[in-house]
Amino acid sequence: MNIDRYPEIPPKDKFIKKAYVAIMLWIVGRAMQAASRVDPVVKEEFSHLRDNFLLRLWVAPNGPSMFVGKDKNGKVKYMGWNPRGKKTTLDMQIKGIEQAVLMFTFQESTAVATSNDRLIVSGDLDDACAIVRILDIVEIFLLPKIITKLAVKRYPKWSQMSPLRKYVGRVLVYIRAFTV
Amino acid sequence: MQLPESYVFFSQPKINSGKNAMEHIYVELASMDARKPLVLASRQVTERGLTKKFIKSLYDSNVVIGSLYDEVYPYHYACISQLNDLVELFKARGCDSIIAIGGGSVVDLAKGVNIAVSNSGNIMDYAGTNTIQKRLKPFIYVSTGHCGGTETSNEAYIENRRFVSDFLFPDVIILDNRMITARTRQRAAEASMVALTAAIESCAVPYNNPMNDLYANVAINFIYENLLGVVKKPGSKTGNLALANAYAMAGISFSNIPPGIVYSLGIAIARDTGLPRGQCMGFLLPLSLEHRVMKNESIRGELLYALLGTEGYCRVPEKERTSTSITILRQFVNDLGGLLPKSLKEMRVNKYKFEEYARQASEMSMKRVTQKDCMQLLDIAWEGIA
Repeated sequence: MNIDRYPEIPPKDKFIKKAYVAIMLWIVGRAMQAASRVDPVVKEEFSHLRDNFLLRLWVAPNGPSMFVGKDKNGKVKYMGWNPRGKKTTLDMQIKGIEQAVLMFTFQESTAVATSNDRLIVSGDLDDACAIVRILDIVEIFLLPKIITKLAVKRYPKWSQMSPLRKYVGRVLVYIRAFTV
Repeated sequence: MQLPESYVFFSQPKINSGKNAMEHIYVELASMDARKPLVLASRQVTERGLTKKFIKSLYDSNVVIGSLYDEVYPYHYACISQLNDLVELFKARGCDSIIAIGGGSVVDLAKGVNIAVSNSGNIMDYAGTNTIQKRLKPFIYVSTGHCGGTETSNEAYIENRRFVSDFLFPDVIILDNRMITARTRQRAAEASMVALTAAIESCAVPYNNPMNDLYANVAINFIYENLLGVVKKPGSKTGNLALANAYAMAGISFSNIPPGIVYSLGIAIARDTGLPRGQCMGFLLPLSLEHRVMKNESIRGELLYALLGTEGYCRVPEKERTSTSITILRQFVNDLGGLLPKSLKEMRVNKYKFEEYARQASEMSMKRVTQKDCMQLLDIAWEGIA
């Protein structure tokens, strides 16, 4: 048998998908920081998290990542993508870039992705549930209803989120996310 | 359902089914401390572009494919010369795991390579039941829908010899809807008949094993509800995925009991005549159930439950459940039209070989079925389904 006919096949990179997910993670991270200042519900959710809370949401095995946590003053802050020197209290790992693309192109909501075994969470379950709720609210602020419906478990009714809160929040989150 | 006094059930594989299931392979390999698999596939799998999809699914992971060997003939038996070449390839490339894409002899060959690279000595020394004494290398099976129906079980056929061991279960079964593609109606019917036989014979026995029943009932139900749809429309994604799931479950269920009369006879006839196993088992299955009823042997009512679900099961009076399930099964086989033969005469099986088939079947089933029963069933099957 000529072994050279069957060479090794190293894995290639998926640059475009990685770049897309990295941009989405950056936007979501910044928007979480902005929403924590603008929206009372998000603020409330974050206030229940511990003082040294630090979330890492990343794509395994070597994909993009984002850090969001509380700083020394207790303010929620997007802390970039570099894990060096950071001690995470909640690690949410998306199993692969394809799974991340499914989530960030809103083909699968966070809840469906979890049930389809696409996420690995290390840390407190309470914290993870709070983060999923925050992500849902952030997505409602960032995206139009037609897309958000695909991304969240339940789109809030008017009685749950008034149009005033939604539209004012949306404008403020966009301004804060891309400027401050 | 009654709790038996005692029962044993073993299932090794983790089943990963649905959208993007293949992207989980690198996680599964990492969890078994492996990152360089030898990948086996048939030429047909490559021609249909499935190996490309598989390779792409491993992009952006830490897994290096040690080698991709795609020259296995899917519907031939696994031969020892090819196996030895693959063992050499496995060792030369420093692989630490095996992935089989496809079905039939591809999986048999992968299991054979796994036995050879994990154990010392001649592979034929491990033929038989429970002769393998230690855990094998990680083995992942990626279904393409084209299969023999028992790839997920604990058995393999190499050079026409049967290897049975719990270590031969795949560690992970991947049922990804990109890989499970349309196939010929004939192949779908044949593979389904093997799986249906395996599932029915593992749950229609007089004693029950609740865990086994769960797997078998779901397999029977998936096949009953989806096979005719797939035969009419071979491209049906949902139907093909449901059938692939059924094959996976039937294989696991079947591994927990000795083979029944239809499975053993089907294998014996197929081995001798070279005909597909599914063809032999398809029409033997309803005949064997009728034969058992004639002998006043009981068939558990749960078979009807598996076929019709809760509502259908409750609608039929208790005394009629056995006869109804046999009628439904017979009708089901008839609905497959000309895809399956209707008698051994039509298959041109030699009648003088019946005794040999009966002897082999009895041996394979570990004497669970007698030669006399086999002979009676073969005699009935000669004329076949009216």
